[in-house]
Amino acid sequence: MTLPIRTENLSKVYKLPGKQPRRALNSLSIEVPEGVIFGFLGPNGAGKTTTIKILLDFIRPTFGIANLFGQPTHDPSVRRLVGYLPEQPYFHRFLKPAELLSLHASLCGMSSREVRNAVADALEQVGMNEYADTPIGKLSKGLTQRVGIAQALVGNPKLLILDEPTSGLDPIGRRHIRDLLIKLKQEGRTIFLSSHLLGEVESLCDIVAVVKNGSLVTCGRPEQICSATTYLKVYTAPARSDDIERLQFLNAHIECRADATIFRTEPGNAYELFRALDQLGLRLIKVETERESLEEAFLRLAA
Amino acid sequence: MKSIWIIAKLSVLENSRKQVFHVLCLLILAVIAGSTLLSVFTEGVKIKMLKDLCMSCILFAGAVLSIGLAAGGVPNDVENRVVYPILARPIMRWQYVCGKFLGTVMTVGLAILALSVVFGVLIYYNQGQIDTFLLTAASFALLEATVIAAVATALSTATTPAIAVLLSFLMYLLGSIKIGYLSKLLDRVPDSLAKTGGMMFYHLLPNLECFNLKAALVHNNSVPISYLALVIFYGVCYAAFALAVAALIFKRREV
Amino acid sequence: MGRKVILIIGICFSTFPLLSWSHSNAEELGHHWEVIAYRTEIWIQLAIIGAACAAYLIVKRAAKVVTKWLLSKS
Repeated sequence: MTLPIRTENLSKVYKLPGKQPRRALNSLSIEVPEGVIFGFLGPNGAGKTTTIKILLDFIRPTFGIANLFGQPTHDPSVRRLVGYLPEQPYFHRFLKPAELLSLHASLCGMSSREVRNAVADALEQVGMNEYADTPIGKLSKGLTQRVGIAQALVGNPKLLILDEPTSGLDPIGRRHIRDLLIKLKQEGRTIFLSSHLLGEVESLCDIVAVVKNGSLVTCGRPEQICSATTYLKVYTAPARSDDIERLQFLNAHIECRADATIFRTEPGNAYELFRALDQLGLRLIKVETERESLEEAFLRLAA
Repeated sequence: MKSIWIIAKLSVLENSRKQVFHVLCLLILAVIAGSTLLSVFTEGVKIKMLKDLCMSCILFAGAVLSIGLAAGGVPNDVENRVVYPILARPIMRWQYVCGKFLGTVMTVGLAILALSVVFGVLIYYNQGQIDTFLLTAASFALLEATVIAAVATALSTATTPAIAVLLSFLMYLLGSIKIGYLSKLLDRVPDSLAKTGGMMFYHLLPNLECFNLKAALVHNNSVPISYLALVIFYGVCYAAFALAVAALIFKRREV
Repeated sequence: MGRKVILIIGICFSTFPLLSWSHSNAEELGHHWEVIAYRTEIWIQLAIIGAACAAYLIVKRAAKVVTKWLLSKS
């Protein structure tokens, strides 16, 4: 079975005149299986956009291989299977969403009848029917983002490469797009998602890859990436600042709230924590355990 | 071909919204205003001057529009990032360049057609009969604009839009005085490396003067068909060559 | 009007005197179809274009053959 995306030792060095060459990607090897939502994470400048640009043949790699469905990325025919949403999509402002979608559907080689159906479907999927004839320049950022997603959907692509698909959307729009992505995955499409919204990635993605300085830090299921360590969360009555000073030796994360003070530490520190709380006479409210979130794992891996 | 046509249509829509068309309106108004001042001359001179004025405007409008639109076409799309969703579709880079070029030529063609109709009516009003040669001369002005647009497109894929506009205007000016002045200037340069370099540059410059049929229109001269055919062949070959260079550069360019 | 339009109009009008100058002498230039130098230059340029295309195709073909040969060697 050919993988929708496969890169092997992908490297990209930017040579700028009069400046030191900058290595944007460093032997990046990833494999994206069919029918999954693949989250591609990394801090700014980690090489996410460079990878996407290589996959779409906007730029060429310095070394290494990048394949889409087993074909080299410079083969334009393979892009028939791909839908792309750029980060902050820019379109011709004078075009109306229906015109833009029909243009992209035509570029995919569809007949005029197929174009009409594809445009109607895509507009329906992103809930943009009522704005079909409003020039894009007059739409809000969130609505433009939806037009961008609709544009990526025309042509019935098997692989969707989405760069920050929910940026600029309100919570309702974000929820709508999240449901749409799940629906698209259920239809058997592969989604390659680059996003900074880690909570969203955690809830959506089957596989997550974290890149840093152009190299792959880790790749796997979100629960594999998040540390297996379980944290202890102890809620007490609000502590005074001098009490908190005395508890600094515990190496616990302390959060002061109006109604409670929360101590977050590893289970191994439980005995010392409880003894110290007892000595200070802090009343316990509740104790719970918590796993590391993807956001915390990301900060741990990419910081 | 379908992809080229789609991009060309988009390019025409985009171009038609550019302020560069104000130049066209100003030129039309200037000629119509100028034609009223020509009444002080005798009838024959008046018609000749009117035709000269109209044809000069068509040639200038063609050149200004083709440079203004072609030099900014591709690099502005890259700068504004509208190129990304389009290049992510199953199209080749050369198809994109050809589409943008075709869009520019179609826009300039529409502008020249509009000018020709207005000026044709103006000449008919003054002369009392339709001068069909105006259409031939305007077609050759369009061919000249096509060559200029192709060179401007090639320059724009290699440099910034501002430099491309500057170099295109330089090319236009030098190309318009190539045989009459540049050749004579080069004859005076003593044999040296500079002369060899100058000769190479001279032969690379498009021969734009050969598309200018203003004198034939003004003096009602006939131009040999064989010459017109040669000029058409030359114009098409030169534009195709410049466009091929543009496509090759853009194919290798990182966007 | 934007600055671009003003710039374009400026360039447009500044080219008028230059091109008038280019035409100033010139019954000869106006009637270029009667001047042999124009036809000669056209043919020279067509020959250059033809030679450049042929050279490009030859270099491209040669590069392909050399790459194939090098790959077979390795």
